[in-house]
Amino acid sequence: MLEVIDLTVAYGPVVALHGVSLTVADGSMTAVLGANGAGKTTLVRTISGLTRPHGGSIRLDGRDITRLAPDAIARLGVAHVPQGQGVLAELTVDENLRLGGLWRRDPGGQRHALAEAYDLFPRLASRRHLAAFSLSGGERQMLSVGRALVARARVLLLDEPSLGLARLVLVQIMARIRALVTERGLTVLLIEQNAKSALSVADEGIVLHLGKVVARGRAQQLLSEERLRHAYLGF
Amino acid sequence: MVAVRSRADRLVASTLRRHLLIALGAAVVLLLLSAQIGAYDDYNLTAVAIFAVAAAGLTLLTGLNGQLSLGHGALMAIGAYTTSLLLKDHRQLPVIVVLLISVVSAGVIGIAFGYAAARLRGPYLAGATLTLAVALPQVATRYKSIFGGESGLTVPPSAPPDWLGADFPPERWLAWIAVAAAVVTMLLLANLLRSAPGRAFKAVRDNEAAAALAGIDVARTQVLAFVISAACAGLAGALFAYWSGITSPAGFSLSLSLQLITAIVIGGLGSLAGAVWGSIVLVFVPLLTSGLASSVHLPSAVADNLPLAIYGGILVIAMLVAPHGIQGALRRILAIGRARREHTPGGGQKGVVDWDDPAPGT
Repeated sequence: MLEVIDLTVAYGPVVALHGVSLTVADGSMTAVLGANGAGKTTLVRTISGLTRPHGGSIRLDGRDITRLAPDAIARLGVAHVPQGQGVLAELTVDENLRLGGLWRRDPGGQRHALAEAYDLFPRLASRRHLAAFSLSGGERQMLSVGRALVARARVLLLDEPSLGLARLVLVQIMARIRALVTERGLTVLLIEQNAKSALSVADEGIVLHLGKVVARGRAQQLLSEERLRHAYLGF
Repeated sequence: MVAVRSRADRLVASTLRRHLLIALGAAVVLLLLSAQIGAYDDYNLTAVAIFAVAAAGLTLLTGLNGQLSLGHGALMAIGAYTTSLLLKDHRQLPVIVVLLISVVSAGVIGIAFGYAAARLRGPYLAGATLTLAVALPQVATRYKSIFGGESGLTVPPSAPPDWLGADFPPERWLAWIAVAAAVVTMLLLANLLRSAPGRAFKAVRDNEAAAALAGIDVARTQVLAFVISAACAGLAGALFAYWSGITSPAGFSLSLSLQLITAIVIGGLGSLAGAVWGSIVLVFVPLLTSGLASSVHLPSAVADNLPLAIYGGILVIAMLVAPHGIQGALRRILAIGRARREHTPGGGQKGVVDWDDPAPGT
């Protein structure tokens, strides 16, 4: 279970997040929605340790991870898939995937996880020995997610996977992630601007506006709220 | 899918075997070569091997981990002075012991410096390592009684073992030692780079934040790269001491550090083979240019500076023609050749593949 409690983050005088709290239960997906500048990316960067909060705390299964270094948080099973930049361009697809299991001491389990990632995204298997910079946007996104799987991530932080992706590709990636949530109990925090499609796969939704939570609830319920749709979600 | 996986497993399993075979082949060829050439060329072969060891270490640090060091000459000096001091008091110490102790001492200094380096980036790191290159030789000058000041310490040559016969040339013996050291270094580094630490080095070089998100301890990875690189420089320095017979501050000037950088850039940044090419260029191009300059009977003021001018010209042209170094150029030539063969009808051209289907047979 991932808990964010009263989180406040500021860049100099600019407050990006203002007392944000949320909980993502094991085996569920929560969508964080909001316009540009709402604080969505700051939220995931703070959870994964790349940005330091000014106040509040973050807990993973009850353990406080607020002050841990990014690599330590990653090793606890929190995988951050950043906006289109999660892959290491100069490394091959295979090397990128293996990075996910770098600190693991069970070669057998790692091989199995690697094979699983290739099974999930067969497209990657055919690109195995190509450098990641030669991949398309969709393939890079698959690679990022695949690496999180090789790392045996329990919590996946997806930052705008829709950015620059064809709709069909996105739908396929999201369907696979949804399956992992249901079948394996993966916990996902999905950051999206495209509220409609995010809410169609997520269990819960949270709407951020200028660093504050302005609405939260079941995904279906948010989808149907006329006022919210017009004010924040734009559809 | 099954075919893909088993092929990959075989590839992983055979990487070590392939590296071992290449190393063995290189060692045999070089040993045979050393027996065919005279003492002077053995001497130059030794120099190439020494530079290759240092350049390979620098390749790991600068080419593969992205940390620019302008102070590797100083790390070589640590190896060289360790060797000289050891031999001053214990003339009979076996070569292998001397080399290992020199590697360890440079490695230990590398730990201390690696921690500082891991906090610095880009030009700041270059500046700090530059300081090392400038300051360290001064220590030898300052503490004359230990390090022998400007005139340095003499290093007794390593005598060839008795079983090689009484008239075995000492130059060839030293060439064997240096080649063996270089081959072992290359073998260890090549395997390291193909395993988890190698991937971590490259990941940190490419994007520190992304590497951290993948669970890599960035600072520790950088320190590790620095230590391994320093250990290589220490080994090269120890061999350098045997090779030159004297260890003095002048032998480890800033220009040595810059020459090493030049070697890895010309050879091809980030490739071990490139480090070897660069070392060959570093040793033989000055020899060629000085031969050329002396053959045309110029006044000595011109002839003395001509080798350096030609050398500089070659560097400029090399960077223009082959920006990815010699190894990069070789790879490109090979790739063009392969592409020509495959562009016959039905050849392996990239095409549009259905989303869910992997390209058949690849």
